[in-house]
Amino acid sequence: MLSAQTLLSTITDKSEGKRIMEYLTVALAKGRLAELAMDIFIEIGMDCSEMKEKSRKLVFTDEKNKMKFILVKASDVPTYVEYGAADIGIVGKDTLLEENRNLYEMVDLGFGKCRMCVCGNPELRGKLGTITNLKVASKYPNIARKYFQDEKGQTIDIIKLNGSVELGPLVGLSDVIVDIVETGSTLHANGLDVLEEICELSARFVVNKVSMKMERERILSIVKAFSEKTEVE
Amino acid sequence: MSDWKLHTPNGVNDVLPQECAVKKEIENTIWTVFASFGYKEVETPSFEYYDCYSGERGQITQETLYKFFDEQGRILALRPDFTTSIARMAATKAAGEITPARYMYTGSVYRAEHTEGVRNREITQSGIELIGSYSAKADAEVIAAAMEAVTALGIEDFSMEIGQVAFFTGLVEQLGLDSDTTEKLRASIDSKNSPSIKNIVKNLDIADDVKKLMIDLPYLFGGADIIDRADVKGLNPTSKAALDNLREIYNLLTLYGFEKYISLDLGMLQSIDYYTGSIFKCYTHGVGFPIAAGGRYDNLMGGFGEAKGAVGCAMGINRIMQIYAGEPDTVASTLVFAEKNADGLAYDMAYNLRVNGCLTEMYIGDDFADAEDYAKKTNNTCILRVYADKKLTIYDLERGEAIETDTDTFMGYDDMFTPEPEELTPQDMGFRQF
Repeated sequence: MLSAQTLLSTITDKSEGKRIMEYLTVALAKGRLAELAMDIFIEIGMDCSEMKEKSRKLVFTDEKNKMKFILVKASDVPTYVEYGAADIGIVGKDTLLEENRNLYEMVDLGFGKCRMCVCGNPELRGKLGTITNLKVASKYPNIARKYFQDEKGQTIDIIKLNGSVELGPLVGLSDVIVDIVETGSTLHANGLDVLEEICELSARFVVNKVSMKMERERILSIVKAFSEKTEVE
Repeated sequence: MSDWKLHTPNGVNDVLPQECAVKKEIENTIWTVFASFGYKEVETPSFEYYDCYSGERGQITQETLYKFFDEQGRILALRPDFTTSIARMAATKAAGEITPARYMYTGSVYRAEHTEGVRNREITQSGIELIGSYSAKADAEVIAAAMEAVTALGIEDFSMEIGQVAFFTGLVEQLGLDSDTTEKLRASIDSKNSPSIKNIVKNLDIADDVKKLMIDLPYLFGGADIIDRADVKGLNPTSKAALDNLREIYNLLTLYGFEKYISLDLGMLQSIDYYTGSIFKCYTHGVGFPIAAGGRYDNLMGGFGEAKGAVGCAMGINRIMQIYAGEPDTVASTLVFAEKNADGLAYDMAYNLRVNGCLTEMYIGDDFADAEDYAKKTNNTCILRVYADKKLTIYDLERGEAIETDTDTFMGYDDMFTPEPEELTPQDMGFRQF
């Protein structure tokens, strides 16, 4: 048994803590996206000096603006944000499509542009629909399934790979691959070509649904600043 | 091979005593609030025919239902929520009764969520359903009851977000959009994805005012002023009625004194096949998901042959538990130790304490030193050592004192024979240090 008093005291302790401004946590996909996003955060007045120093730290704090920045694997960004472990996330559209999490996807940051494509031997162009049980290798099984089954109504076999997907058709593991194409040079070097384009990709600014409501003013001001910075380009 | 019998499956958990105490306290608090509003508790089966949950009106996709078969091969499913079952019950068993009917429930719902085990597949929900009214007063009552429950739980820093899905369905109706475009637009607005909305509407042949409204929808959240901002020229009757309804709900809740907790969001568009009018979610700090959610589902009852307005709300007990992660206080109990041949007498003692509301444990074992050790390690602050000759020693472990007395005195049996018992002084009671 537990008294209502105890419940109350737990809560009051917490809410007293809250009166001081809460930290907003930003999850950044490790790598180039994080660096580009940091540049914008610096431009809009955040202190990210800690982050610019090369170190192995994963959490960076801006005490003045009460911001925390965490570096996580790209595919984990939507998870951190959906669960509210981070309020804001910067992540590629490819990851969002693959993970399909319940988030607010508020700004197209315009950088990290590339395309999600079906690629394979150029001879297959226009013939994909005729292959029964098309074998598709991809790091993005959900995107591949959604594209073929929902949009084209074609049943496919999916082979989940974690890297060097281009090898799939070369060694006969799959007929085609679904992967990100930036310049296409890796494809061409391996005798493959873009057969169909699924969608365009770029970095996105995502927000946890509860944070948006509980920290409305602060998050909207960051969203506004980011929209202005990215739409000018 | 793993020894599966030692593990619980993904998504389900044991609830251990401390956590369970918190859980029951939360459930009891919510129960008391809902009961005080006149809601009557009901139970529905843990599983029903799959048909009950399937179909267009279901808000839960077939992949998330746990399915199995009955002896005649019909598909059964574990309940994914209570609302559907209660609507079926109300339509089939309580048709013709005086409306509105108020029902409440507490129990587990089951969803086969495809996650890495972090998300629960068995969730406890407490909720209410107000069936038989189309009035905004019904919506306001359910939302108010949910907020009273949240407040009663001691949560002061929360936000109740209210939307109206009919506003969007009105717009779609007016534009004559096909179901694919509607779904894309809905998903984009619900995830506040302005670039994607722009992409969809730029190709549509619609008035600029409405186009702009669509693009603005994700940002139409906040105070009552957003209703006016949404009230542009050229809305169809459905959308207009939706705004009037939302305004009425907002005004009622303001009159009830909840203004500081509520905000409006016309871009909240989850489950539009299921909800037909108001839709609401309650948020608080420290929990990444809504702690309560609900809305109006006027089409659900019709699906069971009894068209009626209905509105309901469910509180997510597991999510509320996250707020009380601290260790709760536990109520002290008394340990009764029976000496040789004193078992009956010891049970009488324990019985007397129990009927007077004291938590009383019987020590299982014969060695008093062990009993003392056990009491110190557990939540027992007092030991009653009972002897066959009615001698009784009370060990107060908190003060480190012991009192020698006898069972008749302790239970007050002496009073029946001696009308005026002498008041015992501590010395008479034989206090000593031990």
